[in-house]
Amino acid sequence: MENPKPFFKTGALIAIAIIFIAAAGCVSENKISKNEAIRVALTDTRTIQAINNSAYNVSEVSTANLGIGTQTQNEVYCVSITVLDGSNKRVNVFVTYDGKVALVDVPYPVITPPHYPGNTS
Amino acid sequence: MYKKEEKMKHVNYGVILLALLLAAMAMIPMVSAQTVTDMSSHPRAVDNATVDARTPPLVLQLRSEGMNESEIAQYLLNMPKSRQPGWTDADNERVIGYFERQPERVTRGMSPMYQEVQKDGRMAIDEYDYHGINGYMKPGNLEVSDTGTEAHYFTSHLGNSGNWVEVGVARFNFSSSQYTVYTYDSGRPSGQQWKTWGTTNPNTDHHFIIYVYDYDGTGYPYAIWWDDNLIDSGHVTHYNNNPDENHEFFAGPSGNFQSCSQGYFKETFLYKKEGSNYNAYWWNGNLPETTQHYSMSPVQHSMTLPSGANSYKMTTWI
Repeated sequence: MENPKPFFKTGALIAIAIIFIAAAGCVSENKISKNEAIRVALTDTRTIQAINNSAYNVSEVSTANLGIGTQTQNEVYCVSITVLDGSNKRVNVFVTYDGKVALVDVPYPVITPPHYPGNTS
Repeated sequence: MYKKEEKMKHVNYGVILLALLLAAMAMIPMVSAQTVTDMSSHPRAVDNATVDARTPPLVLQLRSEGMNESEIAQYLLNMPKSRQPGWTDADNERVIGYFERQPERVTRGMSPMYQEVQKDGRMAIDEYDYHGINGYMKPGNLEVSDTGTEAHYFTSHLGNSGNWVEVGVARFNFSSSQYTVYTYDSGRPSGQQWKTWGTTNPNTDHHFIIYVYDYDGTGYPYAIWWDDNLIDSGHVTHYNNNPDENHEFFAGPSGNFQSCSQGYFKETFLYKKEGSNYNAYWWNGNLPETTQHYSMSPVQHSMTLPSGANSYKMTTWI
């Protein structure tokens, strides 16, 4: 009579492998949508403060690798907002895939010449 | 015999499954790219000998002649700044024209959504604590083309509340053979913010310094140095500022970016006045402030503390 144990061992290993692969896959399946990322970004108090009641465009939602301090880099959404107050200020809001604002950054803007339409609107 | 073959078969299954298991486990950390080295064992203060070695010879000479910080600031403010030999007014005007074309591109393509043409790889502190930055940059090739990236700025800023100065290297597709060393001061009148100094080799380490002095009655004097040449000076509105190290990529009309070789900033320290003491601290994880760093796709970056280094090395590429 054959010993059934090896078959059980094989089955258990297959099951464990499937669980790990599925778990790895779940990381991306829990992502919020880009529209949800925009909603999260625009309702964050730091974003509201940076926009300061000015008109603005959400110019892009892209992805970014974000690190803070000594932490590991994480892939997140980057919601880029252009403030139309004549300053050409950009507000980059980094939203994690589970819907939290990780960073609101206002990098130094690129200079705009006087004829830039944003300066006259 | 049969049992032996069956046993071998199960051993093979086991090896394959173990490999699958390891691959699945490896996928989890791969989602989050590179890790940053822990630098808890590194001291944050820069010793005086190193600070002196990284101070322009002119400043050391002025100190040896007995000048204090305020007197040195005034000397540097009033000192004529010459451009690189051969870099003419016409060259300066031409390249400033390139700088001003970048926002025009943005404007033409602007619609309410999804028309951004600038991507950054950036490392910054946002806590208004420093009055200077002293580091090295190697921009790399900064590749440009008609169908991809139209301009690169490889630059360090120091500023506060919408007022800032910067120094860096720019390459434009409009004049792709030149890597221009430039400065910018947001406080100068419109049209005069940009200055160009000359051209440079982008594939060697270049020493840059932005240093802000104490209030002199009209503002806070600053001096900008490039490879120990004083290339700009003026006033900023604040003594304590935010430093950053940026690689800014601008797409051309196609909206595309192309592959770009690596450029980096390294061995940077920051100046902080504490009481009446002028101190300098390596920019690493031992600073009390948080350093944030990111790259917007397709730009990539790594921020590491290389073995034997005192401060972060910020590398960017596509």
